[in-house]
Amino acid sequence: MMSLGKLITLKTNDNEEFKLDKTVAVKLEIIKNIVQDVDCTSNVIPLPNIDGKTMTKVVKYWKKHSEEGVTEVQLKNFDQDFLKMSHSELHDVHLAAKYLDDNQLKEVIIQEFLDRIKGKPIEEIREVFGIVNDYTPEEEEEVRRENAWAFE
Amino acid sequence: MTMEPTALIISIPRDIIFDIFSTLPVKSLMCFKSVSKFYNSLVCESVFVDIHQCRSRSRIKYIVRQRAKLYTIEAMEEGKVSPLHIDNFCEKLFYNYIMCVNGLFCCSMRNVDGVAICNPSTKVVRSLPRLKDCPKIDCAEYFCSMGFDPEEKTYKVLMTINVFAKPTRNWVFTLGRDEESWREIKGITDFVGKNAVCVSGVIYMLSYSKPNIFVLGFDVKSENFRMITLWNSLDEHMIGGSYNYNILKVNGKLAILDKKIWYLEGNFDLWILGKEEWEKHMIEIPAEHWTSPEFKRLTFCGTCDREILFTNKFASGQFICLCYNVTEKRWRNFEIQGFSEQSSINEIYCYDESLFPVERICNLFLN
Repeated sequence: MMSLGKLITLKTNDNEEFKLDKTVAVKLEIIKNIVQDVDCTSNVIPLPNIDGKTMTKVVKYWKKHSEEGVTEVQLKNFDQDFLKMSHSELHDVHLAAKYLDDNQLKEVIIQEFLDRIKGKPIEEIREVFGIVNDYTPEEEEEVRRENAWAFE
Repeated sequence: MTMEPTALIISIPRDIIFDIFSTLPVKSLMCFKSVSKFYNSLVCESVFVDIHQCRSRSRIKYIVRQRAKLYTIEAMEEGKVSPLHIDNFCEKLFYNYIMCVNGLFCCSMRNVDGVAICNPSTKVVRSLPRLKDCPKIDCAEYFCSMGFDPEEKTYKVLMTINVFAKPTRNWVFTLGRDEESWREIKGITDFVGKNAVCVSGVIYMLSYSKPNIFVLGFDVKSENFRMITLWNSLDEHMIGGSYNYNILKVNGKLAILDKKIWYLEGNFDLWILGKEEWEKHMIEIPAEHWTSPEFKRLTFCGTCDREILFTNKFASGQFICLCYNVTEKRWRNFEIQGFSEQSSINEIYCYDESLFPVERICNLFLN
């Protein structure tokens, strides 16, 4: 069992350290489990799957969302700004949220993706997800024709 | 640095896209089939189909049947709703029985062995092959029902045939299996099906074999029949006979609606099968409908989760749908406007979207 210090340090795979108030950190299932299971007297929790750049974003999100007295409107504005990142950065944050088992953040990211692809032509959807089109033009036309009703 | 296509795919794992895509409505997914070959096949893969169906539970859809015509209703909220006519959804023929199970519709006829399976979400309809080893008899009576086995995630269609003075014969067809043909199976009793519902992997059929009305269960996985004990013996000789009853699913449980006395006393009896016993619930019709001279047109037309749906058509051509919430014992109603015909509403089906690839069922019916 870890000592009951106020701060927890999260260490990313590129050795960046994030000091977090314990009350913020233990809200997350994975941190809570590590805190309970692992004998980490040093108060440092390694995050082998997350890099510093991504963790900076995640920590920023956590801090804002656990701020005392923060209003709904402020959070909404914060989220809007927070989500202004490239597709691949968004994927990285989603992966981190998945690893950290942070359902709220995961849902926010998925919703952002849904908003980004909503009503967009197929070409843009490929771009958002980095999908390579492996159809020949004829094959693609055929698939589109079969599902023509869905494009209306 | 130039990005190699493969590097791009690896950098954005498919499981994230899987997560995102599984929350999308079927229509979007049908568009996204043209994104790449992988996504084209993903949409039909059983793992994806199952997860998608679980996640689409929050998006209930409705189909209304008015004679042979079918309509969709997008939202079933209070107030007025407008139906949208659907073409190409098994309308070439008049189907006597339409049963909705887990997002798929099984449409069949009383006097011929024709069965169509429709997935209204992907807009695909396929006919099942005709029976090969059944002699064609003019006066045969057919009854079809469909069930879903949640364990093996398979749909099966059960067809029973009755020919005067001969034993009932039963055939089963499994959807989407390699060997697609009707298999004859053994029954336990002679019966004529009236209506059916599928609850937790069992098809329950309200049936009769004069002079008795009874409920027969058919386990979709094991393909065994069993008699379901009722709270009382139901009599076919009573005026109305088996038309007095409807079998339905409320709150995930098997139930039977007894309409015998509603006309006289203003209430329906609803029997819900609990863990062991049938529990009786009385559904009292709201006073304004009870006292209305036109209320006698009130008819049962379907269920949706906790609600039992009734419709009432007024001489003015106005349709009111009354929904009774069994848990809260509360009524709500809304008006359906804009039908092209004035005939009454036969049924309202409520379903979750499904990606089940009906197009993979063989199409021998047309041959």
